[in-house]
Amino acid sequence: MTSDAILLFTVIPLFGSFVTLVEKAVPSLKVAKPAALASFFLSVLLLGLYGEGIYGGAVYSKVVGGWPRGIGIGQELDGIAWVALALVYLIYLPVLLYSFSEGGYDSRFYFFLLLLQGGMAGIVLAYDVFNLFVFLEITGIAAYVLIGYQKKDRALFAGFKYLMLSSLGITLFLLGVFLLYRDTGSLTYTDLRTWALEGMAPAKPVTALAWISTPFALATLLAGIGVRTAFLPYTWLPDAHGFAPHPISASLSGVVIKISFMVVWKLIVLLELSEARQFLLWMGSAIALIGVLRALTQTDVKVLLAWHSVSQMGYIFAGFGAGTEMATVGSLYHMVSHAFFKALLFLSVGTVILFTGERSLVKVSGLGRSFPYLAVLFAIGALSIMGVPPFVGYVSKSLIFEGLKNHSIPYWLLFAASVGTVASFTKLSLLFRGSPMVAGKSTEDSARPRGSFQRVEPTDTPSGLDTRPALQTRPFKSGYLGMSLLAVFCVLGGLLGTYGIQLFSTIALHGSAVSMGPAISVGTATLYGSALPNEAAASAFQESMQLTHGVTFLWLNGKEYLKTIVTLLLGYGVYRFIVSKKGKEVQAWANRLRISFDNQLVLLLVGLILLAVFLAIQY
Amino acid sequence: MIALLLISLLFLVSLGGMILSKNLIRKVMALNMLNSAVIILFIFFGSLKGTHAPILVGGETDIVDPIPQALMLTAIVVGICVTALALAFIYRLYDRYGTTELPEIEHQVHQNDQ
Repeated sequence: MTSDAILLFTVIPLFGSFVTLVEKAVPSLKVAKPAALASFFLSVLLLGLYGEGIYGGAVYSKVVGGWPRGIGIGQELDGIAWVALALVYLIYLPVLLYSFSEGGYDSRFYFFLLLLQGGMAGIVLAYDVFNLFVFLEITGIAAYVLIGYQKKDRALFAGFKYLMLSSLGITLFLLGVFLLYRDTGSLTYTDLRTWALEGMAPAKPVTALAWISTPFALATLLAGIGVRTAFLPYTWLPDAHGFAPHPISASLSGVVIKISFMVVWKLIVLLELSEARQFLLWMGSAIALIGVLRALTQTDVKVLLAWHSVSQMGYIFAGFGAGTEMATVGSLYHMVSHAFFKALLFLSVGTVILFTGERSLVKVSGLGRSFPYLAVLFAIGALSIMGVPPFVGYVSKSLIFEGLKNHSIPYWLLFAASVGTVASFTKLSLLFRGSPMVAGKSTEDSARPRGSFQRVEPTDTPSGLDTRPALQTRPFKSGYLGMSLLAVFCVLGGLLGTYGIQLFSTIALHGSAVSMGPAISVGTATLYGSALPNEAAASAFQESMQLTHGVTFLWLNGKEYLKTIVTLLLGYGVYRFIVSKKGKEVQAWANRLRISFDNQLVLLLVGLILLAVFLAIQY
Repeated sequence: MIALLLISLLFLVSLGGMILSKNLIRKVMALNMLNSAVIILFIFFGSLKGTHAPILVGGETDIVDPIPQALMLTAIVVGICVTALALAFIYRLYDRYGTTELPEIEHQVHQNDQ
């Protein structure tokens, strides 16, 4: 494959988005959906064509217009970028299918959806921090609009809050870009790495201030992306992901936050910021628990799921932060597995909202009998996030826990988060079990409450017959197809977990080994960072994860099963507590704790300072 | 030095404005100013060496660093897009909540929770 074609990963969706504008101008031309599908299939085809080369360890780079590297706009496709793109497309198809089924989306929606796809491709392919800035903004703008698209409930305000927070973050990022440019005179990843290896000296006039200047520059850079990735203030995420249209929630939680984390990953490894990894380890395990605790008190089904995205991202940060091979691979695989099951959960719970018109757990329950297939899909997602074998979440969580063995506090924080996750999803599964109820009214004849509301209930049916609230059922074929795809991913990703880990880590490892340029012989830096300084250690690790070992570790490991059972039992205990009277009082108290928007901005700055302090320790 | 001081002042004032002011439009304006502060800083730094505009057609020498200018042109465009989008959001929010005051909107949003 020629390197020139890597530009197409961004060009195809951007071109597709212009095609959708044709439908906007001439509404009789129905081109928006075909354009979205076509650009998806073309991108997948392209990714497939590069697959073999990437697997063989090749790296493709291209600078537009024949400028020298470092001056022109360039892109680079390496192993980890390939994995990231594969993740984007795996989630993109179910999301598209679901949007077709849900209906009510016009050409503008597909315009921004394609812009989102193009922006994400640009983020992973960028090879200098300024292009990264531009594509982060493209992705961001598409995301803000899509969140507020339906203008329902809190969506508009959530979109606005996200916009303000992440714009403040990205302005800090731009400040970081400036500081780096001042210190290095270049912005490409390769040059930044050279600078990092040479001791990160700042430019002349501030040499004496190096202890503060360099950590601050790096902290602004990471904080800027940190807002998007939700590890600095994660407070915007629940509203934004919870109130977005269902397919958008799925793609935001599934891929958008992970794509920006891959950038954080790349930067931290490139610049060898081991203290930033420490920061992520502690931050990650803390927010894993905070996210779950907040999720437990929610009654809004999608906000509950969104808090779990915060929490699951915590696992990913902690795994990467721990820095051991196991945990790092686990973190990579958890990005994939979280994308699968969280997209599935958002879509299936979204379908419930679509059919019943209700989004509160207090008002809907027991839909399992009316929608058995939907209940199965939800169950697959829920069991995956709980980490029950043989689903995909079990594989990635086992790896992360195994890798965290030497960090006892983060380990137990994450264990507590797992217990909370089980409790929270036992609670959410009330949607499908228990006594059937829609819109606060029972749909079971015997259990139908006698009372005044039944008489005032307007009904078209003859009196004395059916007064059940209508479940809105409608053809939903492609929506179910999309969700089934995700469910299949969840099951296969679990059953073939050992192959999956092998494949993903090999690709990410291979491709990236060369990408830092011949001047830097750090081997496997991009995937593992300094934990694995050379190819020999990397291949030793690859061997230790060989199929036999992997199978023994994952499927014939009594301790892992025991841990899962203990987690499930404890989780059920917590669930019993939160549905008890005492538990409800605690929840009501917790729900009064809110962080106002202004304080969220302050939180971002506090996070920035904290990160700078962490980095200053290393420096 | 005086330029750097003024830029820092602009940066801090707009950061303060973004956090302290209660009106959404003011917040967006402060964000825009913050963005401008960074852009001016970048351009100022690029202009330190050299005296002429980097237009190479006439064989100019002693030019300023062209890269910051090229980068900031892009950053300005991005900044405008974000500001415009934020203002559009405020318009919609005003339609819905009848105010552009942040505490009032937060109050209304949370009231719907109960």
